[in-house]
Amino acid sequence: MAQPAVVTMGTFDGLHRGHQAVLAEVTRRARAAKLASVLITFDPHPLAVVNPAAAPKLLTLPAEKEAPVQAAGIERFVLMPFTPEVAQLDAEAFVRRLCDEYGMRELVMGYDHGFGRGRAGDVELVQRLAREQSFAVAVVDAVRDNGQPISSTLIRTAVAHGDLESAARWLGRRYSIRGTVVRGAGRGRTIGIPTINLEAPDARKLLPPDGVYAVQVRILESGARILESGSRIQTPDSKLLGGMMNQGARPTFGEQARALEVHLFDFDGELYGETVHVEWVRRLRDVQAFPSREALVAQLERDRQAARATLNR
Amino acid sequence: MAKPAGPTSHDVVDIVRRALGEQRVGHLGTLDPFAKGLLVLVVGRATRLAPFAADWPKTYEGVIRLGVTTDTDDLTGAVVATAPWTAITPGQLADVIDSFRGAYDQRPPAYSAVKIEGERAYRRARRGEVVNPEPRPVEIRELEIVEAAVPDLQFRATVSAGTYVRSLARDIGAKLGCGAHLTALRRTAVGPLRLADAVAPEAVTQAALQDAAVLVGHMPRRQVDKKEREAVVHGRPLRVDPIADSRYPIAVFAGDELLAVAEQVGDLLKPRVVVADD
Repeated sequence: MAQPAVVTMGTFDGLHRGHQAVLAEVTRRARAAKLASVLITFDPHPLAVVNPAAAPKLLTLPAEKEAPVQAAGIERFVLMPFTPEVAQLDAEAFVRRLCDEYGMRELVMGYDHGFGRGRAGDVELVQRLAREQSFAVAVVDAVRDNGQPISSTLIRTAVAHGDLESAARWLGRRYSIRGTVVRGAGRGRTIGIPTINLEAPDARKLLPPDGVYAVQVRILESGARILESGSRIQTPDSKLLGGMMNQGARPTFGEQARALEVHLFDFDGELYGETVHVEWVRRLRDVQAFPSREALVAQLERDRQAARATLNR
Repeated sequence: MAKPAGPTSHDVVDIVRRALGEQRVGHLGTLDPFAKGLLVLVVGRATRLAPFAADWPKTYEGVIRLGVTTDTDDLTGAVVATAPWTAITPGQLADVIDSFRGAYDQRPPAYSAVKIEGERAYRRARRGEVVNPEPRPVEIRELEIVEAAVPDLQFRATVSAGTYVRSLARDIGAKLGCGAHLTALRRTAVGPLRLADAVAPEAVTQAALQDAAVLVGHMPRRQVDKKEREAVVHGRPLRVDPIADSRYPIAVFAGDELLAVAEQVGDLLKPRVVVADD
C-alpha cells in the first residue's frame, strides 16, 4: 500500500507557470496534511497514443521534467507508461487506480483538466467520484498573463515562431534543451570559433525555427573528469555560461544535417560526453550561406557581439 | 484617457475624435459617467485590434456604502431599500469579502448595456420594466478592503473583463444582509496600461498616442524579414513550419513595427488583421 498522498497528474508539458501553481498547491496541501506529494505524468504524450497525427512536439521531454519538478518541491515523480490499456481506462477506473496504487487522499487538478478515455473526467465528474471514494479535490485556476490563460499550447506556439522572450515569461524560466556533447568535425576551432556539438535532438522535442541564437549553457555533470587521453579537466560547477548557438543545417559546408552547435564565451575546454542544458535566450538571425570563409567569420564576430549584448542586458 | 467624473465614455470618445480629426475611435470598455479613471481608447487602424484586448483584466478603487440599496446599484439611482449595518462585525465582513475572491456567476445591473431579447437592459429599466439580466461567469482576481469606515468600505479590486463593479457592491451588500451600493469608482489599470500614463481628454494629441503593439503584447510574436513583410502587408500568407495545435493569434512584427495579427492554418501563417502600411 502506497504512502497516503496528495496527487496531481497530467501531461504537464513545459511545467509552465500554470503547472507550477498546481504543483505549489500539491506541496502546500501535502505539508498541511502531512501527506506525500506525488506528480504522475505520462510517457509518451497521450495524444501520441490516442491520435498520433495530432500529437504536438514537446516542450519538455520526460528527462527534462525532473529538475523543475524537484524545484517545485514534489517528492515523488511518476512517469506512467501511457499504454493503449491505460488509454482505455474510463475516468472512474483511473481514479480508483490512483487511490489504490498511489495512495491518493487528495487530488489537485488544473482548471482545464480532463482525463480518462475521451477526457471525460472533468471537474464535475471527479467531484462526484471524490464523494463516492472519499478523497478531497482541489481545482487550481489558470495563471494568466493580461487575461490570457497560460497554457502549453500557447507556449508551443511562441517557441515554434521563435518568440523565446514570451515563452520564457510564460514558462517562468527560459526554454531549454538537455543533451550530450558529441564529437563534431572540429571546424569551428580552425576558424577561431571553437564549438561544442550536441547530439541530434530527439524527434519529439519542439525546436524554435532554425537560426542563430544567443544562449546560456549549464554543464550538468560537472567536476573534475579524466579524459581518455589521461588529461584532467575542470569544468565549472553548474554555472551558466553565455554563448551562441547555430541551429539547423550548415550550408557553408554543404551539409544538410540539422545540428545544434554552441560556441561558449569565456570557456575553452573539452566537454565530450558531458550532459549540458542549453537555454535559448534570443533569436539573432536566420541561418545563411556565406560566399567565403572570411564573410562567415566576420558575421560570426557580429553575432558574438549581438549575443553578448543580449546576455548582458 | 484619464476620464473625469461627469461625462459619459462616449462624450470622451467624441472629444478625442474632434481633437485628432479621426473618425475611427473606440474604447476597451466603458466607465459609467459617475466613475473616473482609465478609459482606453483605440484610434484609427488600432480599432481593429481592440477585440484582441477584450479579455484584459481591470483594476479599480472605489467606495461601497453599506445599508442602502439603489435601483442602479450606484449613487445616481433611487433608493429602493435601507437596512441597518451596525451589527456587522469585522470578522463577518472579512469572511464575506473572502468569499467573493475567485469565480462567481454575476447578474449585471438592471441599468446596464447588456441586451435582453435584443434590447439594452437600461432602456427596459427606464420604462419601468422589472429587469433581471442573466447572470454570467466573472472572476474577482483580487479584492481587498483598504479602509473600513463603516458604512463606507474603501476597496481595491482586479476583475475579469465583463465584471460589473456595481454588481459586486450590490452582491457584497446582499451577502452581508444590509444591501449596498457603489458611491465612488476609479479605474487604475486595464491590462498592462496604467492610469498614471493616461492624459486628460482635452490634452490629447497625436503625440500622446501609444504604439498599437501594446494591444498584442500578450500574443506570441513572429519576426519577419523585408521580403516577408511585403507579403504580410498585402495580406498574403507565409509558409511556416506546421504546429500540431495552432489556435492562438500570432502578432507579426518586422523589427519593432507591428504588421498584422495572423492565424496559423497548417503550414500557412495567414494575416487576418493588417495594420501596417505598404
